[in-house]
Amino acid sequence: MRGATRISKLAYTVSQWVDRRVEDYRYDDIHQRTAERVYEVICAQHPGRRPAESVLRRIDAYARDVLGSPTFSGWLRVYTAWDGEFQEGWIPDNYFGRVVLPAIQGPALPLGMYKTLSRRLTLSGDLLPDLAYRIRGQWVGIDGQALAPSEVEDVVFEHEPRAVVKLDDSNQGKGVQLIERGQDDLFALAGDFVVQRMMYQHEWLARFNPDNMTTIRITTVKPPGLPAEWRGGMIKLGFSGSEILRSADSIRLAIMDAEGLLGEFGALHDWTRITKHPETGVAWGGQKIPDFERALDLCTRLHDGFPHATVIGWDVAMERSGDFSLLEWNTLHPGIVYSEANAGPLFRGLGWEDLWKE
Amino acid sequence: MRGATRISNLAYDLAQWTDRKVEAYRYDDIQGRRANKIYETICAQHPHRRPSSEVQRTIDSYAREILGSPRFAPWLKVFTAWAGEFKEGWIPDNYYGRVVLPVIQGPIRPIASLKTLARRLLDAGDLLPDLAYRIRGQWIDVEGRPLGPSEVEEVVFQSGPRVVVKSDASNQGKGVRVVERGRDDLLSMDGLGDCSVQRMIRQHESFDRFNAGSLSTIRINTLKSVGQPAGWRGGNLRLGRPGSEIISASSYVKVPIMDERGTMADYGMLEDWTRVSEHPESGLALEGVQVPLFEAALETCCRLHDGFPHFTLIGWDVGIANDGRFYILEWNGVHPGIHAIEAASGPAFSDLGWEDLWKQLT
Repeated sequence: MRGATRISKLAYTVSQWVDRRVEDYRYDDIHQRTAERVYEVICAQHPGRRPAESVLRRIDAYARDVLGSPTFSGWLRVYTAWDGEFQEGWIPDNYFGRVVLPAIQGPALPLGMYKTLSRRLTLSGDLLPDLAYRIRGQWVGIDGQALAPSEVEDVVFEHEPRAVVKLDDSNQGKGVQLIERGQDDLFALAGDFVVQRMMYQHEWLARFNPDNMTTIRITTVKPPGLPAEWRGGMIKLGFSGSEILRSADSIRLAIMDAEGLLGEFGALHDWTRITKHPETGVAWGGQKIPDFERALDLCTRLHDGFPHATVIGWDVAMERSGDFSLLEWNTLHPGIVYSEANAGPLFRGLGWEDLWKE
Repeated sequence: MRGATRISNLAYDLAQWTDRKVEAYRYDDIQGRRANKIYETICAQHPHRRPSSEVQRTIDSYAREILGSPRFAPWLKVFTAWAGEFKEGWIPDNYYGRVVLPVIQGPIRPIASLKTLARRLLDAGDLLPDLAYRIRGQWIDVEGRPLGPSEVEEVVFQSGPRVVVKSDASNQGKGVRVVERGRDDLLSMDGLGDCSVQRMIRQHESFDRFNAGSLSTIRINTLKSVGQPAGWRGGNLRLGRPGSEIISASSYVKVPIMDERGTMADYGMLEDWTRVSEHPESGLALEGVQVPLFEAALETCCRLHDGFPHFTLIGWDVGIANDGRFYILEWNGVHPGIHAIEAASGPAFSDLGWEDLWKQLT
């Protein structure tokens, strides 16, 4: 009996170790390939930015010596080509995903995925435009009480005949749809989801693209025992023809500082560099997001109330009234690549470079 | 490049498959050993309850054919010895842990271990006696407001000089301690990690005759099937024993609650499954013990579960207080225990199709 236990424990440890190695290899492989593609797009558009051999060697050495593996070089090359020079302290996305996040998010890592629990977890109250939830066939109101099917439509369409449905594991616009009273059958929708009220954006943002809701992504970091603080952000602008913003069809504009200053450039989904919206022709270089400090304050305040996660990516809306609301929050893998490339290194001083040694 | 991806995908699948197999083997191994020990305790105390070899053969073939593996037999033997006869429909604890729970609770399951988020997740307000939390070095109150070090004691000891501190991922009393103003320094206590601080609750006076110093609790299991109202699926009363203010598995005697009306069994169960008819230290008979406010507590558990449908099965730890109220001390969704319930009043889950879930795994 004892022997069997010892063997089964050993086999367990070995299989876990192999599993981890294989998973890491596969993860890096996928990332290296994506980064390589982005890098080539940037270099093709701006041949002058292709780093010299000596810089590439320096990047490789930095990835190996400081971050622990040459497989972290791909994203560093992207940041270098985009920025024009290599900077120490950048965090490659695969290093962020498989070394940093598991260490700093702990068990809170997946919580942001559950749109049906965002309001409860972040204690954001009416800052989130939630109206109702359906979870495993049960309708629940925002007060946490079960709703009978006969009550649902009155709750959801109380103020407006249209609403937004977001699936629990939706992201980047996938799994999001609009529903209209009389036209769509709420009860025929599959999966667990939140229903949110329609929002209309402030004219300052509507100038760029009036057709769908621009999101303002703000990344905050809360080091252990310290107040949450600004660590980058961006604006996601959509194109005409859809009422829902899809990341795969959007323009990213970096927010350069905590005052809400926009950089000169934006990027299409494939990282082609642009300076104005291709459809409306409106440029953004040097402009400031109005009242940005209020949006940032909203995010740091919520983060201070949720110290479980070290880094949170908040999607904020600037409504027609000028008020900021929360659309969703991300803890699983808040994107950092675009803000790192434009305004980074954003995560210096947190000791993240050393986490791989643990 | 493409070849490398294919090989890495294949290696990934293979590693995952091996990992799963090994983990299942190890889990069954540990559980089988535990069940065998309990089985021998029961049979030693009640030699006539040892199942005949014919019944044992029935159990073995039931485990193999209905549940998919002979490794599910040990817990069925425990239930059989306890109940005095074999009943179809029982769910062995290892089948429950590695086949049923991953399916019915889904990927959200691990968040149930985060005590510091229980009040938020359940939207239960003051039904949870929480006062404050410490998370990654930051103290916050129940509304999520950050507390400076100088404010913590004021908030925490507002209701009395003693409070209960529970570490995240604590269970069965492990990782739980009593903290007293002036005696313990809350701010510099080591080894706590993330924790919640709860008000000290005085148990209902009717439990004081068994053991006055601790908080007796009741466990209520509720089940919520897809789109259906939550309902009763077993429970027990955990009467404290001397030696600890904090109830832990080794310091209580479990009295099974037989149905949703609160009918009590006339015996108790110690941690090693020794059957007793009296509370060990006080010597008082367990027959006739009642749980005050049981029906109201069950109704509240069902209401909370209906508002939090993400989990199919929740085990609620409820404290009946001497102020005429009851409190949700914590909730369990990672592995809400069912084996004592199955043995005493089961099969409790035979109408849910759980016997067939193993067929989805292969």
